[in-house]
Amino acid sequence: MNTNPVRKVLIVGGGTAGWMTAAALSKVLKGVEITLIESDQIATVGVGEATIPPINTFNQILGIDEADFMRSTKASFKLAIEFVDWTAPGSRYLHPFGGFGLDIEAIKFHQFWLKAQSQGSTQPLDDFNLSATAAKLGKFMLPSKDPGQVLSSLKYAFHFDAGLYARYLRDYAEKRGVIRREGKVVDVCLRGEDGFIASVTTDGGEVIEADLFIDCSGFRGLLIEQALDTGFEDWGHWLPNDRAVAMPCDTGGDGLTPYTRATADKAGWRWRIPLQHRTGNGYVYSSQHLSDEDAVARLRATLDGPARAEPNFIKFRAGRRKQIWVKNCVAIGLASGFLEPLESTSIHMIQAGITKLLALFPDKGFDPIEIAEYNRLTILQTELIRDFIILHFKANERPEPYWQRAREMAIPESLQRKIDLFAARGRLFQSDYDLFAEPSWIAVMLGQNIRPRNYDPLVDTLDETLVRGQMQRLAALVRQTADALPSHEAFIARYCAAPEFEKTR
Amino acid sequence: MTVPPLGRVAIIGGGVEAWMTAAGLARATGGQARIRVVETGPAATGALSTLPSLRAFHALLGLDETALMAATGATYKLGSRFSGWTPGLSFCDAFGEIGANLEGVGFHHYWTRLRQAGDVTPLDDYSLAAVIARLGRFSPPDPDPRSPLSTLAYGLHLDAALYVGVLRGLALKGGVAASAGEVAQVIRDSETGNITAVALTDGERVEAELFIDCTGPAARLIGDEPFEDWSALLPADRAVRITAEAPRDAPPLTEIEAVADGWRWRIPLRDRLDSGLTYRAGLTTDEAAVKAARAGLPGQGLGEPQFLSLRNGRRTRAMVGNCVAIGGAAGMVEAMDCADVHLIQSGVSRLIALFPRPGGAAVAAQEYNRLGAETIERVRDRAILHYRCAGRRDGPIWDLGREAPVPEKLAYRIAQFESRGRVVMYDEETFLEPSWIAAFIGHGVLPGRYDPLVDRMPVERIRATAERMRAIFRQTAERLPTHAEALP
Repeated sequence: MNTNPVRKVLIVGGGTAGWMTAAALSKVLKGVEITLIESDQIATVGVGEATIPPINTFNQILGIDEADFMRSTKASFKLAIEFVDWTAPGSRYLHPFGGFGLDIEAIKFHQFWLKAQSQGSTQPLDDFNLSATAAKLGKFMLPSKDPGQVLSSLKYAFHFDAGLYARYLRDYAEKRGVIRREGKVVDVCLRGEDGFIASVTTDGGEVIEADLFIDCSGFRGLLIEQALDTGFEDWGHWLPNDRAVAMPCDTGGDGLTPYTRATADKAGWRWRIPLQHRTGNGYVYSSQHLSDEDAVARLRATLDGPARAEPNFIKFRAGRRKQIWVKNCVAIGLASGFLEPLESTSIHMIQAGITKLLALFPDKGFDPIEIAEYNRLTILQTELIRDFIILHFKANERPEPYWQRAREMAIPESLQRKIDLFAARGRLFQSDYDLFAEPSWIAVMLGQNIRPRNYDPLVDTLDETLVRGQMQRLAALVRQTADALPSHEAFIARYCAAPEFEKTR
Repeated sequence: MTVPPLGRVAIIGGGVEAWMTAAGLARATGGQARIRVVETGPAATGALSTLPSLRAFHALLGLDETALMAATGATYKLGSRFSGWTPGLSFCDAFGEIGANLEGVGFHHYWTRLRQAGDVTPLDDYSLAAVIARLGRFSPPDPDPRSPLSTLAYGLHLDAALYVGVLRGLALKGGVAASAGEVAQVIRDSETGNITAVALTDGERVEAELFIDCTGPAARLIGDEPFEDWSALLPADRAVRITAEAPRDAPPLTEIEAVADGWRWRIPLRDRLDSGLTYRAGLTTDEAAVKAARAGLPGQGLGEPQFLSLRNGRRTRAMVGNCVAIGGAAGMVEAMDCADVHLIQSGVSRLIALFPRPGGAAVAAQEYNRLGAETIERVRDRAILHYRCAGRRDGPIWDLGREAPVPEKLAYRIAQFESRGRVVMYDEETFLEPSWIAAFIGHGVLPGRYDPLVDRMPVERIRATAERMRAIFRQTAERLPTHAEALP
């Protein structure tokens, strides 16, 4: 029996990070008192309204009912991100979930595609990915569990209202015994002997003690930075965007697309995230290159319909906390670091933080060994995601000074090596810790016009006619499968429609 | 003769690495490269003890395993048994899983919990593969995921010369040309440094676009490239091989036994036992080594002892210009973990994945070398771990090994496991997580603490679950055919 177990956990800050953490901990831990303190007076950021497929694992761990969760968060399905205007004006490409085609004789499928392209074929690689094909057609259905079916290759995530998601998880957590305290933390008390956090004091004068503190207080890092002076590693030289303005609007334009859209703009990019009852929009930009007024104006001009709210400005800095777990404090979510949500990684990074915390859950001894491992893994994973985000900016073809600068900037050596290798013959070798698997890198490299000079020479060893035939059959099968699916709207109406969904139609 | 689209490939060398490379490339290039093997250097001898990954290579080659096993006098391998490394400790590093995760927490944490409560059941009892192997039985994995047998994996014990024969036959059928020859001179382009031809002693010039150095430690082609020497990290530098009569009812295991002078291997083949001692020349004479190698062998062994020199280390770059080293020419780690064939295989697979078109390879070489260095260094770290943990004090080789510097990544890995049973996995690992757990715990590196989430379960329930698991494994194993019965 461990004689020194953590008995009390205090989560500082609600929002997506706080309530995801509370929900997961309340489900997995036993005999631990979990308290969350948040203030209704502090607005949550809620940038991450789009997710990626690993969130399904999180939902499974919690054991939540998907349709119920979607109805409650007014969610829609997501099959891809569409990138618009990142290269030539009017250019667009998809970064879909799931892989492309099927490898033949241990040769990667995209190599066959590259050869076909070199011979004049114009068939997009998307034709070999069901998520992409369904996304373009505005279709959706849950994947088949039978691996023999093409429909089993459909990979999906969600768009949801982050505020409602936090609310949903709050209900979940409170039902499992999490205690919610209303209040602002006004003071943090450190132990004299070792500098560990002993307690926090609220504006109501209440002192809350705990063994383990989880900092979900957002950018400012109330515990990890303000109390513990951890320090921040700034990535602004690679990712200069430091502002976002968000403004939801009525559903319109292309409607309830089963994909997120990220449109490059003068000094940043705009997101469009369709929900059941509205569309979320925002502009992520560099304040050095664009004024707040201009950003709002550019965002407003591109809305699908009437704005639903006044512009909401968010300030941030790209980078990470130098250490993410310090003494008895773990930072999760924006308190741990920030990468702009270009690839919808914000919620995933919260999830990854929680997963690691559970895998390395400490006792009151707080052995430096767990702390070292938590920090090592987080830094490794975050830097791989960072490289993937930087790729989008580096390989742009836009004329504005902001974009010229991005094109000319020096990038991390790890990323340069990947780009060079892909540019030569479309090859990629992955770290096991990379959240984005090979198909994601392929989609974005090609989408950003990094065209391999040549394909893998081993492709030529296979009978061209046979391979072409196989490719055609595969594309036809993908297309037939996608055609037979219901529309995204129809599926949502049947599966998980919130009351407002019906009203908007 | 015109040059084919994928160019001409000259493989220099005649051992396992040469023919694995030839067969692999013949398959991958599908007749679009002209592959030639210049058979040179010593022929393959002895036995190979392989990891389950080799089966994927055979599948890629389209090699029928049953036929292969019959042709090479092969036996099955469910893992390795380490004994003598620390007096009183022996353990299996068996393929497949150890116990089952309970509520998302690795089984070895529950094992540690029970151990701290006074339970002395060895970890091996929770490894189905180890239980089966120790009973001298065998089963391939069951395709039904509900069966405990579905978690199994196996490797093979192969006669090296016969294995080369099979690969050679396959390669020749795939269009590879072979002839014997001696390298007289390597001719390079004065500007690029690329090899243009290898001149043989009979006067022939073998020209090619890609040259593969499979000449072992002699490194006839790539020898000018610096070699990172690991003799300060790993003490052995010599081995002696002795063949013995085939033991009856040999379990499907490679035996790796430490003795005062070094470590001995025993690889059971159908018709004989391949065995030997790995030692350090400066500490043990050849004479003493032979004596130690013979001790305990059935009939003190057959035939003459064969001496092999070892050089732990790696070529700083295994791919330079149009020359690639595979096998001993690229690097070597003493093989108590039986990764030697896997290192060849990973070199061949990487070469296929990065196969250059005649003339260009600079970017590919950088990646080839980066991945290759990671791979062999993780294997090296594992060898160092064995010495580091060995509790023997009866021979100077053990003091050398124990006191050798520990590379940073290994030190971190040991510290993580020792403290709370955390298994750190890096990129390009050869050994899977259960294998690291088996090695740590087997060598007596016990976690000081276990995952606190274990305490969600009352200890009585953990004990009952563990007992049930053991009983199921034992019953499952007892129903299986013996190793000899299972051989094709």
